[in-house]
Amino acid sequence: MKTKKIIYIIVSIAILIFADPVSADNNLPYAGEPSSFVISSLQEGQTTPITCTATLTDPDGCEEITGAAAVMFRSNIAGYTNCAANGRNCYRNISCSYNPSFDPCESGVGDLTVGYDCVANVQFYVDPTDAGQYEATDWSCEVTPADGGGPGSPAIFNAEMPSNIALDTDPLEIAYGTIPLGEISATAAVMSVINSGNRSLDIQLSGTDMICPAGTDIPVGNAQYNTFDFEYDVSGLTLTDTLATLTMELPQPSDSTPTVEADTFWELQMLATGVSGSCSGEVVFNALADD
Amino acid sequence: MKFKKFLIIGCIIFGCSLACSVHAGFGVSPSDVNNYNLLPESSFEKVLYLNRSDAEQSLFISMTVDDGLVRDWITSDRADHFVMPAGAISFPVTIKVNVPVDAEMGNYRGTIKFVANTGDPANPGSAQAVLGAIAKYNLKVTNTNITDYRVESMNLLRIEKGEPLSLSLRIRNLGNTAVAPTRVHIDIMSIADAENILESHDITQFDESVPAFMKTEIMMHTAENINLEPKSYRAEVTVYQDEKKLRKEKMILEIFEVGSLRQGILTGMELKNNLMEIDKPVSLTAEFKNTGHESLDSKLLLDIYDKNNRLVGKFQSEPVKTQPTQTAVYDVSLMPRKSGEYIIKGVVEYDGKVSEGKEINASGFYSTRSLVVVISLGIVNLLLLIGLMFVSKKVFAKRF
Repeated sequence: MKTKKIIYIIVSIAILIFADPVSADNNLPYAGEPSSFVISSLQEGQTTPITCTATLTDPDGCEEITGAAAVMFRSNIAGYTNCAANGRNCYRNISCSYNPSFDPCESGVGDLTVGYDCVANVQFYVDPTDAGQYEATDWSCEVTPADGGGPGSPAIFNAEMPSNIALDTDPLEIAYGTIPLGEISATAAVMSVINSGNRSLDIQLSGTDMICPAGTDIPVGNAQYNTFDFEYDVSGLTLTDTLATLTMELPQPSDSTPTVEADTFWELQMLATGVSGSCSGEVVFNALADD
Repeated sequence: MKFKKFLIIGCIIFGCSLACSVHAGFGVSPSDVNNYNLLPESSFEKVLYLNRSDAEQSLFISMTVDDGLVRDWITSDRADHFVMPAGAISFPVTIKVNVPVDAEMGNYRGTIKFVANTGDPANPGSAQAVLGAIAKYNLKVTNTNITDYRVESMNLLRIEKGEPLSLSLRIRNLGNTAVAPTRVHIDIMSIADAENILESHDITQFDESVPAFMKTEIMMHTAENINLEPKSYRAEVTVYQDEKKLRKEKMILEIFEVGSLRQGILTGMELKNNLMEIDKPVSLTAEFKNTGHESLDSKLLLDIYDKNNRLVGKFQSEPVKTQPTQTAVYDVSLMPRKSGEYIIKGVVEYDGKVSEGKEINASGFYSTRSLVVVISLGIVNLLLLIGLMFVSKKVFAKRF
């Protein structure tokens, strides 16, 4: 009885070993060259798909490869490839897919290599490495292939993450409303400036005269602004037709919500006489890196 | 009247809701044009992308380089004013920096400003917010030659037995002189035994180099041919600048039988109808299978002969790209002009080679309808001729 049991165990082990082809003599795949990891630009206010393409090699044949996974991270981040996922500097669990135009897997002819694309939708506020505080670093993409035996050996590819100086405003117009002749706006119009890029911003402002359909135009200097609800001619900054820097708190965002934004307040003094009709003008909001 | 004392700067809410419908930001990425290794009389380019999240409208862009010392050095492939078209969320602008021969050593900093205007008028009583993004430049002029480059990617190309090893390197040159590695060393091992080096090769002669500040791929080949048996091998490639190892990578070298790497077969060619009606298009379909291991650009070539074996027509298709194991299909429309017997001979041209050919015999004929038309026209012409002769005879008879 006991011998029967032993034979049964031995046979079971033998079946387990020989029935599973990958556990016997499986060679795990590895990632490497040729590769492609180039980031040209980012999109303001939305995600940008960033592709990291690698060659995966399985010594048992490319058809053994079951997939790959990738991590993209700023190369000096804490934890390195084990970084904690976040939109600024670490993207984990990036799925990868077969790219036959980069390197097709020709089944049954001893082809060992295959191309895979790993695409991360990178946030608009991702840390740039071409300028600013992380200029000395890069972005890395680690690709790990897998076959039936599990994950193989990864490879890391590096690229520069570009900066994006970008902004938006809300609303799109400074609505002064109705102002009696010779008087100043009763309440300040509020315009929010939104940082929709990945750098800390300052804003430079310039404007034009308010053009009126008849009579005299309202000079650009009659508009005043500041970053708080100010008193006209006391703490207001006069708008000019040349750029003036307005220091604002618009740091690099760390998430898509809430948005990083700061308010500007606007008041206009109406001319005492000579203005007629509904006037309109322009204010240019220029975004500039503040570092 | 109190009413007269007021000027109405009307903010017409309804009007605003129409004109202010698009809410989109604006940016420039990358936003820095930096180069710290510029020599007098050198130049470089950088592509900046204007970008926005909503591309419903065209944007009128004005580009201004500030009034710094180097304003004349900086130009772009766009005019000072240009349009970012509707539908484009990203729009490239190539900035070119040309350092004059008499440039003084030093650092030059400034800005390149992009202002984007929708062209929509502001609503009455309002000032429209026009968005702009400012890129910075930081240029350093030096008189020191600097060699600084990175090997970003390498690719050991598949070869056929008896060919030399071919390696491509993508190099990013950050320095101000043209560069190429001084040596590339390649060890070839079997897949099963990575320790046993079967062959070693050095490449020390480079036909190409990467110009200053450029990123490009350069090709290089071993001087000797590789006669290892066709199969896959491990290869270890090391790139050197003098004695410094720039990059070392393990790769796969795939060697194929002679003639098998880039090859294909014209597997079929048929005419929809071998009896071709005159002046009516008839469809010819040909299929070319890529039986090699590289993607192929191929095109179908047709020669059309009459029954006397005289060439009466030629056709060449647009190139079609085909991956290994895939089949390219060419659809061609032919239109015979004359009746008679034809032989259509087709081959596929790819990678400097020509496939085995295929032939189709076909006939051009007039359809019953066209024959009726031709005969009717003939009868009408004949009747007209007889009528003319009759009238002429009468006229001449009267005169004489």
